[in-house]
Amino acid sequence: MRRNNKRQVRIKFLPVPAAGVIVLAVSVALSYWFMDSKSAQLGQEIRKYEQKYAALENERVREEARWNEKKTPEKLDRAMLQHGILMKYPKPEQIVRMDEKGRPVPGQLSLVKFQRIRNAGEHVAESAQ
Amino acid sequence: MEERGIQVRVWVVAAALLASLCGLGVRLGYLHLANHSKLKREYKRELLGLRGRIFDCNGDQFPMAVSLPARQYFLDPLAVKKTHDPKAIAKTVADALNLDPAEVLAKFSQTDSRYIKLGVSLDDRAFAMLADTKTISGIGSEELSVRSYPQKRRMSHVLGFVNNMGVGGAGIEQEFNDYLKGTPGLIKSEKDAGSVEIRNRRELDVPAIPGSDVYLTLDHNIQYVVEQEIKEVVEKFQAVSGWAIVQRVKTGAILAMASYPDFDPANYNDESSDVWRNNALAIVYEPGSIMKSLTVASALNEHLVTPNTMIDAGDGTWFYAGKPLHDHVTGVISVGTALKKSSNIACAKIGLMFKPQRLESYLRAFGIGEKLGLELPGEERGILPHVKDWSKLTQTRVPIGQGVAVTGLQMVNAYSTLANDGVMMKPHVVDKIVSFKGDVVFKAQPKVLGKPVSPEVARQVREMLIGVTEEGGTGKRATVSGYSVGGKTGTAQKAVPGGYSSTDYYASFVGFVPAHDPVFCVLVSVERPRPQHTGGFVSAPAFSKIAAATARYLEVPPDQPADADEEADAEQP
Repeated sequence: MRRNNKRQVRIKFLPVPAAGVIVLAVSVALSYWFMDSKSAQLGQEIRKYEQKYAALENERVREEARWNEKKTPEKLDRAMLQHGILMKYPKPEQIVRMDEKGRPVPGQLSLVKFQRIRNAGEHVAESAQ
Repeated sequence: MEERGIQVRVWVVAAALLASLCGLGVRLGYLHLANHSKLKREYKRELLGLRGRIFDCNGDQFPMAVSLPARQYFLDPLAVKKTHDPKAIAKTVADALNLDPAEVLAKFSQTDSRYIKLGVSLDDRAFAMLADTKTISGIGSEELSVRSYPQKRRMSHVLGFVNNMGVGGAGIEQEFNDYLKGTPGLIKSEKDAGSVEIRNRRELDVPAIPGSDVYLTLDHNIQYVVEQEIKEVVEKFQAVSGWAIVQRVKTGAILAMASYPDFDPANYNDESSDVWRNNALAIVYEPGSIMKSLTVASALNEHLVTPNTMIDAGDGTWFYAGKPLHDHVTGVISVGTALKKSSNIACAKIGLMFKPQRLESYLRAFGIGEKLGLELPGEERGILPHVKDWSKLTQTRVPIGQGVAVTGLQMVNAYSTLANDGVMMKPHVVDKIVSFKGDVVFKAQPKVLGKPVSPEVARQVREMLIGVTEEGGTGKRATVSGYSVGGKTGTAQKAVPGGYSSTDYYASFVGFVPAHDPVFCVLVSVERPRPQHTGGFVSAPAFSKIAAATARYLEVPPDQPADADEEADAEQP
């Protein structure tokens, strides 16, 4: 008697609804696992950016402090001295102060005029000696 | 039979798989949902709330104090792995923190402690170098902030310092600690096996709140000049100390306040606590002749004298209550001359014209013997005895600045009152306080403390004080090219137990510029100068330099022709 080796054996071991529930549960679990991994990955990226931001912010604060230390009056004085620069305030007669309307403040020009007359007088006196 | 066997085996395998799956599911749910071992997984991190900054009156461009984020590194010798070489770790640590490798290596043998401080670094590269767990172990770090003073010793007595606990220990740092201190933030989350935060499990994220910024009325440029001058005068005259104040007369705002010797606020422990004291408001000393202006102003206001009232200064010695009072001025002189030449006898006699209660109340009205309420710790009230404790002699000595003790702040404020038409303003060093969000939480407004004398009397005294800096006056070294100057010299013997020192003096000069319409007032006092000791010789020149620089810096219009010497000087390259 010949055996039919190609005969398919149909085994009904799980009801369709139960299989559906299992597939659904596995799908939910896989989705959860996927989303959790993705979330963790994004969290790590956020953490790295936060750290980078904090580091840059700290560096900005320190850099500002370094710059502030460089522009103190004594350091500016020293730097100018090194380069042979001597800065002085202008003489009073070199300054003309204006009021809000752009006119010279009263008294300024008369003061300069007085000074010039005095200087001229001294010059004449020196020449005469 | 065979089919049935296969079916049974499939069922068994399926059941086993299902059971495993269920087990995994339960375990997964348990791990995710159960609350167990939370303490082990808990991650907590405190965020640094940086202390607020302190700026001068020029605003954000010139911070005088800032807090910088840094890291404190420490060593736990017991946590060094056996596979790691301590020598190599010590070398890396020394390179990263600029330390001596031998010193660092020596700390590895101190196994009695698990927290040995190595150093503080502001550089994040050090953190990167020391965080390499493949070669380094036993090194830990924690965040902290370091208080930095970009201009080093500038304004040290005004700024104060912050102690190791992060609390202000002197000056503005102490007085405004509650505004300046930041509030730390907090992160609560979970950590993984490597103690790294699992960011998506963060439960709490409270950001740190930086402290508020304090803006001063002081100007670092004027302060620079004042500190240079006070240092120079103290060193030149081998004095114990010196102090100077520049104040705006119209508002009472302090533009500069310096004491010498000074200190570096970042390393305040390098100096003794005496040096931390702000002498300008904490040293109480007899003012000497600078008190005479207040006596004369009070007498004018009481109509006891006029500027032209003549007073007999005698032959240079006057006995009152059995005690002699000496004077270098002799003969009959006007009240104006009495101030110009600083006559002791004339001013003592003016003092006698008052009822004692009235004189005392005038001096108190000028702020003598009272705290002025400056926003700095350590302000003294001075000593002005109550009139019931006055002897007969007191009424002749207080008017010339003896038997009374003041602070520099009181004297500069009293002269600012004369310069401000008799209106006494409250001195202040803080202009505003701004929160980290930019909200102004405090803004100083000029405050009138009183009007001890009338505007006319103040003007008369100003005119008299101009004479002090003119030829024949005691303060002619205080002149400023291009500006009229009114002021007064003061030379007071230092009080010692049982009397007065014959060798130690306080030399002072206080005055205002321009004298006819004053903008600012300057006081310079020097403790125990040698060999010269008079206010006119020691302090007046320093006043002149400070006033000249301040007037030009503040762009005060000149009201006098410039000196020929000054012009020649300006011509030089």
